[in-house]
Amino acid sequence: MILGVQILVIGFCFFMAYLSFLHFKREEFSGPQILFWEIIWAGLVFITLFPRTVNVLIQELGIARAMDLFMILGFMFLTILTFYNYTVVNKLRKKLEKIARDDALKDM
Amino acid sequence: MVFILIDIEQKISYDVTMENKNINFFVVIPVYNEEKYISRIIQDVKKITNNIVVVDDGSEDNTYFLAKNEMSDNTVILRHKINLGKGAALKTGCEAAIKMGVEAMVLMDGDGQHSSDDILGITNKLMNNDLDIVFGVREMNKKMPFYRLLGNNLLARFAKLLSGVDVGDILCGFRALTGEAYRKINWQSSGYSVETEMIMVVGKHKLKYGTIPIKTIYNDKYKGMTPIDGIKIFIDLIKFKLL
Repeated sequence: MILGVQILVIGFCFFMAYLSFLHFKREEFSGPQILFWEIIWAGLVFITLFPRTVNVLIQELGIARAMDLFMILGFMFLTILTFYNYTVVNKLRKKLEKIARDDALKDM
Repeated sequence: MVFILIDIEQKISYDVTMENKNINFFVVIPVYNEEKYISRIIQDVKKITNNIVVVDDGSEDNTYFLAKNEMSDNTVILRHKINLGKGAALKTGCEAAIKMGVEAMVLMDGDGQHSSDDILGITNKLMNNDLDIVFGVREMNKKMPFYRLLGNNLLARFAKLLSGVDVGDILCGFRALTGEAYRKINWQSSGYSVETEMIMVVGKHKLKYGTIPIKTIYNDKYKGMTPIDGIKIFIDLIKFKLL
């Protein structure tokens, strides 16, 4: 029997898969990028439907429940994403600053 | 005796240079939406020197056009197409000044908070004492809004602890530095943290610094830094120490 929380996660995954596909159709995602994201969402649906597939990993890591593993992975993912966004924004800020400065000084 | 004579000669030569206002320096003024004050500031500075670089940091009002109206020989008006922040605007201004081959730069806020009467004092201090950088120190009196007084005091103590540089007023934007010191400091901050970054780098590279008391005019107590900027500066101080 499928629990309510599983339905919620599957619904979320389908929504995200559609969103990723939309970005691909708008040519904002390349072929490899859409493939990466669709695999992520499909994998999440699979684990949600068959949570026991991660039992080996749970025992290996000494974690009590599958939910705890997802929470830990979720936090790790968010931390990596935040760090990645920080570096990208920083790079963009520096590029933007250089463009604006070069433009201001171009007649000198 | 010989040393004393050399010292006197050097001092005289500097004083004469200063009296003639021939010292090769530029006043760098970053501005953002300052249409109320920009004309007056430029006119006031022109009484001291025509060597001015105004950097309009993407203003949405008439600041740029008003500054352009005040243009004359040796007055340069630059414009950022987008707002980048005070640190970035100062850097653009200093880069322009360096391109014009200056020995020193005076950094001044564009909100009319600083008096042009202090320009010669700060350049005199820089050159006569052979310093790399001179920090203007505002009078800490009742005219300064309370939260700024408190924040400035706490940040100054913390900066002294981390950098060893005892300035007393780390947030004052009125400063003079040599071209060589500018290259050494080479700040990366684009916003208000530029002032604290300068202090931390001065401590790190053990640059020769001095301070000078300056007059302060508070035109608008709602403009400038907010308490949130103060918190950011506190975090930046730690960041600059670790980098």
